[in-house]
Amino acid sequence: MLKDTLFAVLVLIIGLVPSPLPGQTAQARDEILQTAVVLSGDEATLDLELASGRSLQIRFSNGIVYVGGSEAGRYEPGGTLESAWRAFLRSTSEGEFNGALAGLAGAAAELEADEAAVAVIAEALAPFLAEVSSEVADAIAEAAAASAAAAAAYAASAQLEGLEEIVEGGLVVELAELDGLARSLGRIGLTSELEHLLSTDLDGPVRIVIEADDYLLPAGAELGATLILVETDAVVAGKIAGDVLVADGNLLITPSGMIEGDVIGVDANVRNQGTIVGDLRSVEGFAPIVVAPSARRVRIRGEAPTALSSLWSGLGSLAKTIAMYLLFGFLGALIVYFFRNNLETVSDTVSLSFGRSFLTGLAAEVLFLPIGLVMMILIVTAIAVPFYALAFALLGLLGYMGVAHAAGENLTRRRFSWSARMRRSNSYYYVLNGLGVLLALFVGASITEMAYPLLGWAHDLLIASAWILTWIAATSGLGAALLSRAGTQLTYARPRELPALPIDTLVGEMEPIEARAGARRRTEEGAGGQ
Amino acid sequence: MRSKALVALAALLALVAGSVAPAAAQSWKTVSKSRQLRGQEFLDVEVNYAVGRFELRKGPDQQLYRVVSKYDEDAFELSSSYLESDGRGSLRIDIDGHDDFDFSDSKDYDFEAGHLRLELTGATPTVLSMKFAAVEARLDLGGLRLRELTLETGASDTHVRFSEPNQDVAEHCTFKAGAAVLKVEELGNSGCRKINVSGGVGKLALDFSGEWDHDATGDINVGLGTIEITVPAELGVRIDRSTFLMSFDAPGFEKQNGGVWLSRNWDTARWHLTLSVSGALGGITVARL
Repeated sequence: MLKDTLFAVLVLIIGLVPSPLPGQTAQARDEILQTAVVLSGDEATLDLELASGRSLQIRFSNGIVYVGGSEAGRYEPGGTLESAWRAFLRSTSEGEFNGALAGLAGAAAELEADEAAVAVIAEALAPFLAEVSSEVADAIAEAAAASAAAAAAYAASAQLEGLEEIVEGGLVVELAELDGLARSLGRIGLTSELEHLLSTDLDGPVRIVIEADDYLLPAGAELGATLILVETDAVVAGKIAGDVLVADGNLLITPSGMIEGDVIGVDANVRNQGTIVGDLRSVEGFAPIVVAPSARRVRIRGEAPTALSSLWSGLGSLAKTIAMYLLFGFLGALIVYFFRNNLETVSDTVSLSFGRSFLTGLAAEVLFLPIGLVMMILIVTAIAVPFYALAFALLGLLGYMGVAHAAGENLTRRRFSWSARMRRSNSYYYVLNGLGVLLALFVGASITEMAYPLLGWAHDLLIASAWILTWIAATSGLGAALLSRAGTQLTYARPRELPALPIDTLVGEMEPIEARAGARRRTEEGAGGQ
Repeated sequence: MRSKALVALAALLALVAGSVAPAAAQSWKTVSKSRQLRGQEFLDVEVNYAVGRFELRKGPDQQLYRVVSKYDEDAFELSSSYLESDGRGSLRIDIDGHDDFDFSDSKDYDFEAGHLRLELTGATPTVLSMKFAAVEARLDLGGLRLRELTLETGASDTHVRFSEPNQDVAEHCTFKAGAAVLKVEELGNSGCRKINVSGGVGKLALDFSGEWDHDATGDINVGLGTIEITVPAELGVRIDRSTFLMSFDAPGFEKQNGGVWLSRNWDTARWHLTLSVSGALGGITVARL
């Protein structure tokens, strides 16, 4: 019985491998080119690719044996047949297929030699093996039936010779010439990219098959066009006088199939058993044509921007800039009210140590993410990550306001040097002035955007400059805030200015005191002398 | 790509957290694939591996390649294909995470249990390109016929070794490491004429020992971390240093003008290695064997 089971396994593996299809000359056993084994909880599959171009798959899955994709019989999951099959596949996956096969045959021969052992095992497992044996017999019978069905299918397919292509479902588009397509897409601004693509990869009439269930070009059929298959599984047994492009699908070129051009697979699986005159290329992760956001002149939904649309767009940007100024102004006023000394120290630090502040800020920006990651990794510090991010943001805000303060102060000093003595009482003025300076380029960009068709270049220049200036200000401000410990250390700032002493008044007040002290000293000396 | 990044991040957090909880239920699938060498004149290999352990080594010459992979089919998907045309084979192996798999319970997930083993023939000229996300990789490229090598790693621990001389000439060898440890040993056997190594955050250890029979140049760049370079004593070495806040320690080298260090045998050595080293924060040490 056990021998029968192993014999059945051997029949499934060996017997079906070299069986020639009707019409083919019987040949010696094929050389195995590729072996693939899949083992999982509910599947045990062997895939063989033979030198003749044929392939064979035997799959045990959920109680059913499939041979070449067709159901060939049934087995009991976890039973003897599946165990023997899995053991064979494990050996195959670790070494040579032929070696494992020889091992399996050797095991059968050994059982035959030791009839006594076989009898003992058979007696113990008789009830179970009887069931298995009957299952195997059924499987073999069904396999034979499936084989006959396959032969009939092959014979039927041979009758397809001379027929045109067969497409099940999906959409088929024929383009007589590509210029029309290029012209249509050119209207939405994709001309240059598309022309490049078409001129390099496609030539002549094109047939596009989209999301078809199956596409078949039978043996003997000829397609005189470039074939594009999108999300379609296809079999080409005929001849294609052009290129083939397969996107997101599977393509099998049978031994009778011939592609006169190139075959390009885009995220596709192409199996070639036939002839490809050109090249076989594979492109994975193909990126679609994307219109860059900065290419404002290309509008998919409409025409080029008009003067009116530019004006509205510019006004919108201006309103955003003003809103940003008001928001920052409000935050700046709060900081001046509650943390004036800290703000002034940061402002002084960035004024007197700009280079050092900028480099410190740059280092902080570079290190922000790695430090955050380390904190996240270390469980103890993970809880502090939100506070770390908040502290970083607040320091950045304080620093930016410090830069605005410094810019406003310097501007005011240049224009009104006499105002130095009013310095401490006008931090509000400095911050608002400085914010105006920092945001001025954005205002300029908004204004030029209103006349974009004419001043597009100026707008692009101004907006780039504005962002660079903002980054420099934020970076140096952050660095100054760090150097000054959020405005609490004067290490890199100027010392606090002491209030000017009223020397004249003090001298005037000292004179009578000194006179009285001199008189008292003389009186004491006179008394001592007496 | 987004799913790969999420899987990598989840795996990194789970690995670093050092969870000792039992692994969640995983549906393991083992896939094995091998192909015989049959006149292929060239082999292009591309591997993309998200999470797990990876091993690459030279296999029997008559076997073009062998792949053995074990992975959780609920969480990951293996895609492997081999195409061939005019004697030029192209092997692509891709193991990526499912978009819909929930890694939120990742602390119980055994990311390290999955593995991928690849064996390549030493008889066919090969171009090798690999990308790892969160992978512990051990590669012995010795004995292969490498024409070009590209290795990109994310949050990985990668150890590359050339235990035997390359049987071919590799014009370019590129190593890119993200937040990773990258160790490359016996680069002298690699046959690489131009070596590019770049690292984001982490440690790079580059050992240039091996059998030198050619001159080579190299660009080494790291953002934040350390670079340890080891060179054999008989090799003439020139180092052009361009660093920001990075220490540099090269005993046995003579400093020239313009941030250039030369080994004392530069003028007399038969073979020369010219390195351009740059970095932002960290340290560079150069040792001679």
